[in-house]
Amino acid sequence: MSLKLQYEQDPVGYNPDETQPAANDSQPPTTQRLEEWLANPTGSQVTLTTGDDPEVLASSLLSITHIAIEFPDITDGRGFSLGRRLRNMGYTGPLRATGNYATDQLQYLHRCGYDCFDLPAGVTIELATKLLGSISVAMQASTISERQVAFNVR
Amino acid sequence: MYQYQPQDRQLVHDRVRQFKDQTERYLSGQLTEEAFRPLRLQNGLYLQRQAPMLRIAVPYGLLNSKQLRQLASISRRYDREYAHVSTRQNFQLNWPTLESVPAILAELAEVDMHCIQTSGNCIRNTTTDALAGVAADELIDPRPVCELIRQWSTLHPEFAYLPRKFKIAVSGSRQDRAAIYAHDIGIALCEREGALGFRVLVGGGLGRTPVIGSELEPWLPIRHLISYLEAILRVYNALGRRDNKYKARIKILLRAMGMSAFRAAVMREWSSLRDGEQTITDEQLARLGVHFSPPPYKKNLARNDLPGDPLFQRWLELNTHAHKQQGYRAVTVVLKGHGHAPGDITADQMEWLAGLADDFSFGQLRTTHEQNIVLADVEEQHLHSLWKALQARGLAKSYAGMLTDLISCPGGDFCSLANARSLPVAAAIHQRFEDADYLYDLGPIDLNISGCMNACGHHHIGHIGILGVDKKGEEFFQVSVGGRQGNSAKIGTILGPSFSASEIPEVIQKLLTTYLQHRQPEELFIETCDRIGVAPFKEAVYVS
Repeated sequence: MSLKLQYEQDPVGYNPDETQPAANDSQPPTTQRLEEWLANPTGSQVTLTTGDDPEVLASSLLSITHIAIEFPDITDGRGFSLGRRLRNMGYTGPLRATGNYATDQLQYLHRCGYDCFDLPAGVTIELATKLLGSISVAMQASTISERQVAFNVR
Repeated sequence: MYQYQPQDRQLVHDRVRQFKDQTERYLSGQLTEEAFRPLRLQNGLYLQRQAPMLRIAVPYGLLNSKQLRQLASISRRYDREYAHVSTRQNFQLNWPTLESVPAILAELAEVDMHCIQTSGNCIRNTTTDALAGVAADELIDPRPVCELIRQWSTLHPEFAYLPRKFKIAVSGSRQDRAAIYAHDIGIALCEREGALGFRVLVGGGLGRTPVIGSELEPWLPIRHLISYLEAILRVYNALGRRDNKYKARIKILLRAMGMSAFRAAVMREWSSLRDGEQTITDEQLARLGVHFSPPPYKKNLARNDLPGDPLFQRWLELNTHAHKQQGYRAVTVVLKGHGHAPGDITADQMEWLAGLADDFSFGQLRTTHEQNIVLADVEEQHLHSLWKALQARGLAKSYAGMLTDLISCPGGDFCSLANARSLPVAAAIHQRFEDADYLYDLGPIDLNISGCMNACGHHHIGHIGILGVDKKGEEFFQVSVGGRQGNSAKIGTILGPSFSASEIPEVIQKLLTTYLQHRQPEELFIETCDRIGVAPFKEAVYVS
């Protein structure tokens, strides 16, 4: 699930080729907003905003099958920490980035635990795949999902 | 110094290719200005008043002669044959074109250099004591830990879009020379019962709201350093303000939450990270330590009788520093003087200093946060030859730590943020205070000039601080006294209403005269400030 630190290991084993993404043009699932879900926590598919506290999901993580994080703005980096927090809490299902994030952030998002991406308008799977593997080494631990990456083209 | 491993080189190579692609997509219209902005900033590229400015990383201020020669060569071909040493120990080029940046990055990569995270809302270049590893008062060599932090923070996927920039400094000596109280995080390395550990200060910083850092953690074993840093950064990333860039630094979050709530949040985050895979082992530290093992010093050197030439003796006293290794001294080459901006260094000087480093200091150099260059390992018996060589090039004239070894940001001549031009003020001070005997008699005085509230010239912690302000479109300068860096770091007190640029040399003169009138034998400027308070300085400046 995660990488070794460079200073801990010989050359780091981050190989983007191992996580070759597949196209996925099926519609992402319908999710509940966190407020709705909190009012009636029976659903299994939730959308968080980057400012939400993931701890509120802690006791229900096993029953949740899909989490989407909606990015309001490309400079809002809270979603990166949110992804890692959810993975560290033990969430192993799909973690989807949606909303206004930048395509050039794909690799960082992937390394923060995201494995499903609603691509910004006009971005092709070819470009997204290339950007996902921009940097072939990693200098620090990260939280890469074991699931295959999926792209939703808009 | 740290020798690049294959993965370091691969990373820089990938980064060069990545930025070339990003620049091409921007220039062809595929990337918007908004999307390109954070990408170029994280590659050190600012769009400035005159031309782009490119900031080149010098990790914790260490570089070798080959790298300095390459910088000289780049500055000749892509810029105006000079570069600038910044207060974060980096180099800046002031005149490259946007189109040439990918080529510059490729040439930097040839000598294991880059511009990664020298700007933008991410973890910036970690800084340390310019005398790291050689200072006589050092407890622990901070360089292996700096390298650890460099690796951890380089292209960290979680912390590239923080609320604001984030600066870390590390010190390993009794006397802090790395301004750790003025950083988002300051790390002081220290031992407890023979075990290496670290003390953590948080929330220091200058800028609009100057704050001296507070102790977050008195001591933790070194194995926890990375996980603990990660916990702090995660709390900041999640909770720091993003609605107002002037209230986005961690110091504002700390103030809003209060230390105990902030500490509790860090501890909660750390509880899930501590003793995890980021735990540092003794073996890893030892492996990194090898990169910083001492150069082949000559052993058992006899004490040298150095020539009695008074000019040389004064330079020896002020511009050289006690060394751990008997028979060696560290030498500061002061990049200040009449006719150029503080910290500016020409291509000729770079090449020539690279040669001196090869001849006298094992081919290595350091940049300092005072915007100077240090040759850290010079044999005492070579000091006179080195001095003569520096003197021949006019680089032995300025004394380290004296009034004219001033720190200044590039100001309104270059920077689009600045309210005022700091460089003409620096030049006027150089012109007014040329008399070496007078400067020597004054003793050490830190003079810092910033062209705006962002405080890149660190005016708050100057013994005398000068801040450029804008009043209805005109430049004025506010003056403060009593600030300082080091173990008793303190923000200076503003004297009162601001002055025009032309008044500043006279104002400085009055401050100095007041000091000379009041000082007791052996008392330094800053000590007199503490003893007599601000009032006599105020009176001298505003009443007389």
